[in-house]
Amino acid sequence: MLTSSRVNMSTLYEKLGGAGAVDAAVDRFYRKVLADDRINTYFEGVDMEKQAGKQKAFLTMVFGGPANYSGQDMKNGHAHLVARGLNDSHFDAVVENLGATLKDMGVSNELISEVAALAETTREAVLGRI
Amino acid sequence: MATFEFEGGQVSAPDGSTVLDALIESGHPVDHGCKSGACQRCLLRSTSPLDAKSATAGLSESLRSSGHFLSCQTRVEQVEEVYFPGEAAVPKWAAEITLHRFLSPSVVHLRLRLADGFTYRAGQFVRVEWEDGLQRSYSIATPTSLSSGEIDFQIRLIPGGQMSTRVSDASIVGAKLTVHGPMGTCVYPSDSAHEPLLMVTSGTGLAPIWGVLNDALDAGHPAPITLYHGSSTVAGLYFGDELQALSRRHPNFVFVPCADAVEEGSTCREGNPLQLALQDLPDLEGYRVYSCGHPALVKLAQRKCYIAGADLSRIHIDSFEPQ
Repeated sequence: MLTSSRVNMSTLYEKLGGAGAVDAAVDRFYRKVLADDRINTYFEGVDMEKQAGKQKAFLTMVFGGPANYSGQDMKNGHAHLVARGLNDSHFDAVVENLGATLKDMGVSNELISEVAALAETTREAVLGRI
Repeated sequence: MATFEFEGGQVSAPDGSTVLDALIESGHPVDHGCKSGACQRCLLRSTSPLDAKSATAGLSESLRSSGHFLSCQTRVEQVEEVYFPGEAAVPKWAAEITLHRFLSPSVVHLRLRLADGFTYRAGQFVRVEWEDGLQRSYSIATPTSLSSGEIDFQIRLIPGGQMSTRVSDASIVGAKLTVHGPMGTCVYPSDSAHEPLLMVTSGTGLAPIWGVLNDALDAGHPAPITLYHGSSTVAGLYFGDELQALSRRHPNFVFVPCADAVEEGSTCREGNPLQLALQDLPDLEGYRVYSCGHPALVKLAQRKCYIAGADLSRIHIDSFEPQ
């Protein structure tokens, strides 16, 4: 199952135009996340340029491109936010913003569901439940 | 725990600690200042250049490639062998105070004459070291085109502050200082003529903005330039006449002074400079943005202007961290 979705995802990664298009998606996505009052307090005080780099790595992964970090990285990277109350509702909001970003870019609902499913695979690690 | 070598000895510290904190806690006196990656006083050198962007943010290419890094912005697990910086890693210049005057009751204008060879871009900053070792960072307010071996600072006085007490005394004219730098990337790029510029600042954040603004106008920048300068009170604003004069001479430059509370009939707008800017200019796509001054304003400006469409790489910020 995971293997077949990977194949579709790599199609999406290429379909979107590879690294260049991911940059454009990161830009839209990060703007949406920062403007979203449900979750933007978790981004206060962070170095925005560094954070944009992390968003890019994340989106590259959920589009089926090269994945540069592990579940353990996701867990460690969010532990301080979980301690501040990061929970499923915040994770849902991020996935929602991701979906809205892709919709803006003209991606089909079917592919958006697949991206959301792949993003979903990081939920337990991000929320420190692994 | 992570372990690295410092000047030949071993230093260990918990993962995530900064190199600077690890060294101080293990009893190594490392000179430092703002702990925010701005003043470059805690500069150290690694045997090879560091990859992490934040570790070398704002350093010149020659410093970066020679392995220098900001020890307050680098985590212990990112380094292996660390040394004190090479001699003259940040250039030093002999300087003398040549002018002292008040721009407002709380802002002092200082002018320094520097040793031959000093060059800078308006909007950069330097670290000033007094003979007794007291150090502070100040932005250069002199436009690049006026560069004549002298640079100007606009310094806000903090009642009771150690440096403020010194700087409010006109008899410092003639004092000999050492200037380190220049540093910083909050400058006017010559290839940005087509870009509208938005400048948002409060208090003496105007100092670097004044330099950048004059650089842009001197270069004949054809696209619109809008400056919002705020203060809590109208009396806290300074350089109003100079800025109004510039806006009369340059139709593409709009100056918007603002204050938290203004009297009726005032030419000042009421409100926060960032809020007013975003109200007037809600779409910043294609803009180049400058924001300098209080950290809370500057960091919010970076975020809000980005959300409003400005490209992150075209938002120049200079946050005046408490020193």
